[in-house]
Amino acid sequence: MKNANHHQEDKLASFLKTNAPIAPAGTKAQEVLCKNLIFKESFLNPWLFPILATVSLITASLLFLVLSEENHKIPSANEVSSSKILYETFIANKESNNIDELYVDWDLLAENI
Amino acid sequence: MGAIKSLVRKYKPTHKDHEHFNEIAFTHFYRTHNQHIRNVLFRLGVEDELDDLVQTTFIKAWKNIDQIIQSEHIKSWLSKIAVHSAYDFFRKNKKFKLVDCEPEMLEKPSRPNRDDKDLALEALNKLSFDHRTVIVLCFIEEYTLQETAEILELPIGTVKSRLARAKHAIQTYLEDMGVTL
Repeated sequence: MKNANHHQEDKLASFLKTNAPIAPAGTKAQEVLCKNLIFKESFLNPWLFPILATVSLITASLLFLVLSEENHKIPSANEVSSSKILYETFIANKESNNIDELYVDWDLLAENI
Repeated sequence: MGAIKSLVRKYKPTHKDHEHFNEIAFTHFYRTHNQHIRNVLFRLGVEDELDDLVQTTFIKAWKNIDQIIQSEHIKSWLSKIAVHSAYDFFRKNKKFKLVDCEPEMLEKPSRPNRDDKDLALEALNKLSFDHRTVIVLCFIEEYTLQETAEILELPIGTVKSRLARAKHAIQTYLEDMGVTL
C-alpha cells in the first residue's frame, strides 16, 4: 500500500515537473535596472551628506578669509615705494628751498599711503 | 557562487575599481539564477508583478550575500527569499488565498480535453498559496522535505501534512479532468 502511494506520488511529481509552467525570460533592460538599483544607490550612501557638509563649510571659511583680507589690504611694495619717493622729493625740495617744487599733491600722497 | 564571493572578498579592499568588479560579479550571479527565480515565482502564481518580484529578490539577496556560507545552498537560499517576497506581496495585495483549503472547496472542472500543461497550471491555480508552495518546491523544483522546511521556516511535519493535502487536492482535480496517472 505504501509502495503504491509512493508510486502514485512519483507519477504526480513527474506529471507536474514535465508540465510545469515556465516563466517568460527576463530582458536585458530588467538586468540593467536591477544593477542600477543596487550600484547607483551607493552614490547616495550615508557618507555623502557629511562629506558635502564638510566641503561646504571649508569653502565658506576660505571665502570669508579671502574677503576679510580684501578689507584689510596691506599696500603693495610698489605703492609703498612710490609714496616714499614722493615724500623724499618733498623733503629734498624743502631743504633746497625750492619753493616752486614745494607743492605736494596731498591727494596723491594720501592715496599712496 | 563560492568562487565569486571569495573573489569579491579578496579584491574588495584593494581593487582600485572594486565597484566595477562587484558589478561584474553581480551580473554573473544574476544571469546564473535569474531564470530559476523567475520560474519559482511564476509557478507560485506571480504573473504581472513577476519582474518587480525578481528584482526585489535579487536586491535582497545581494545585500545579504555575506550570509551564504556554502555555495551549494545558494539555490535554496535564493528560493527562500523569492518565496517570502511572493508571500509578502500576496499578503499585501490580498490577491491570493493564503490559508489552507479542503479539496472539496476546489471548483469542479467545466471544460475537459485540455492540454496537460494547461491542466497542470490550472491544478496549481486551484491551490492555496501554502499548498502551492510545497508542491512547487517539493515536486517541481525537487527540493527535499528538509530543504522545503528550511525554505518555508516550518517544521518538517507541517510540510509533510501540507504536501499530503495538496497532493490529494491536485490528484482529485486531475482525476476529475480525466487525467490518469
